[in-house]
Amino acid sequence: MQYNKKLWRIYVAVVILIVAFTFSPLIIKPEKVEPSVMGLPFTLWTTILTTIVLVVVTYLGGRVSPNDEEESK
Amino acid sequence: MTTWVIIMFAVFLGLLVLASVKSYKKNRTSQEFMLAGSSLGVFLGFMTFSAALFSAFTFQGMPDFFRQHGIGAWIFLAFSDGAMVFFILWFGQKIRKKAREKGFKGVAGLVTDIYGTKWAGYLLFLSAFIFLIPYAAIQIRGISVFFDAVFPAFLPRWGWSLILVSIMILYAEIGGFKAMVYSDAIQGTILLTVLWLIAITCIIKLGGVQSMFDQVAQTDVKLLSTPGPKGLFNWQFLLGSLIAVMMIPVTQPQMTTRLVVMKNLTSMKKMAYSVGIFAILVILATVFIGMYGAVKYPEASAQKFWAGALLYDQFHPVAGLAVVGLFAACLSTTNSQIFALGNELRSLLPGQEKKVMYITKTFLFVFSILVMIFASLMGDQIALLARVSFTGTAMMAPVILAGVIMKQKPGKELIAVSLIALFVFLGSVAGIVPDKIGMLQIDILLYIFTFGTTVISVFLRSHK
Repeated sequence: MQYNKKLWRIYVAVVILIVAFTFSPLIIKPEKVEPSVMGLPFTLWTTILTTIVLVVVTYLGGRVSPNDEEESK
Repeated sequence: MTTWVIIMFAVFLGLLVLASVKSYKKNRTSQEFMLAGSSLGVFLGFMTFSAALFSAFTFQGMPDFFRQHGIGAWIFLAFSDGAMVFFILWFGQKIRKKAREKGFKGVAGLVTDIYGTKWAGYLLFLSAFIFLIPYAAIQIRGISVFFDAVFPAFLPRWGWSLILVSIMILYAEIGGFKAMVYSDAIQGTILLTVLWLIAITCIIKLGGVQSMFDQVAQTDVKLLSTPGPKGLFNWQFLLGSLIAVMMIPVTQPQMTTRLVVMKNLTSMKKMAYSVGIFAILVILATVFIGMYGAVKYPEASAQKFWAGALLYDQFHPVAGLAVVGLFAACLSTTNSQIFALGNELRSLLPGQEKKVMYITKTFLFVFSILVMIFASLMGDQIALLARVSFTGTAMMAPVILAGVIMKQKPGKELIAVSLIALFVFLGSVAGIVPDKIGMLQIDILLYIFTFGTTVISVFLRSHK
């Protein structure tokens, strides 16, 4: 897992964009229920998706984030 | 059901005894006792972090939050947890680096070394004391309400609290941090299993996911969007919660310690995304339990809802496991908080090893008693009380963040900034300070004040 400054910064930007997107009126619009997916109301399924993306970006970010420790075998 | 509760308890207590025997070692140093030698691998690290994070607040508070305030509760906790685990990648690396440079006994001790003044450590300990005691008391409160519902009139609520606190003290004093890590692994497994067993039953009882949400719409369509029927989940509340939750690894010492005691940075990074996956799975289950409650128990008290949805509407073995699961959740989270307080105190104590160990153990006992007293005084709004704890400790973020970011000694003005923010926030909780000034909620204003001054202070001092 090598530190890759450029990729790491891209992931940080992606996370900031996801947070901004989730808190925008596009997602947390009052009383917006449709379109629903498998019965889940709009704000719920979209924020479940954005949460999953955050965790995936954490996995990817972990591979390129700063690493200044000797690994213990 | 009682038979199943007894069977499940016997198995659980057997596992606890096994864990404490495995962890017990004579003549341990306080470092071994309080920090398990700082060598946790990915699995135990992820389980202990998750178990310390997800507790009675998740088991009881989150379903009740979904039931009363709707689906915005997902953003309140799950989305915020997603952002928190990413933040751990950056913060974890920074705090581990400082801990290597300065040595680590506890966060209060670390900031004392970084700032070169004991006041920084005292402030952190004060904040942990003020907000962790009530947070730990939430867990005890939750379990005593639950047991009261399962065995009505068998014992008063304080009696259940006393039993839990006694087991907790005994377990912590014998096994130390290592035993807690094992119990966390057991608790995490039970929590995830039992929440999904309950959630699946709830979904089946309401005829599937689609039918469940159709019925919720008929009960109150406002539950299916933000800000919810009572208007709680407005953007300010959700943004304030996001910041408070992201700051948990920074300002809640039981979580910070778990980042530092991981074997290496790679293990810590793997732990971070594993906690994210765990958070999604656990909180998703509480969505369905909460929605079930919105249909079946729309007007019931929290206690009636918990007793019904988590116990009496479930198959007996699942209900038995639910009681044990909640007990385990309370035990591990409360233990981790009490232990964190003890560890913070230890990190501030000078003197001989034996004396420090003795004082720490005595105070573990004192903190436990305080938790029990608080538990008998507080209300049932578990999720909201937890948010107060997260927000209160988040006021300490400037002191810690500047301490780990800066290569040189950070400015002491940040200690004053955090202290002011702490008192203003306490004032708002007590109703002395208004909880809104102009358009903005007090917590948002305090974040602007604390983070703004931190950025200015760090910038000016770094460019001197």
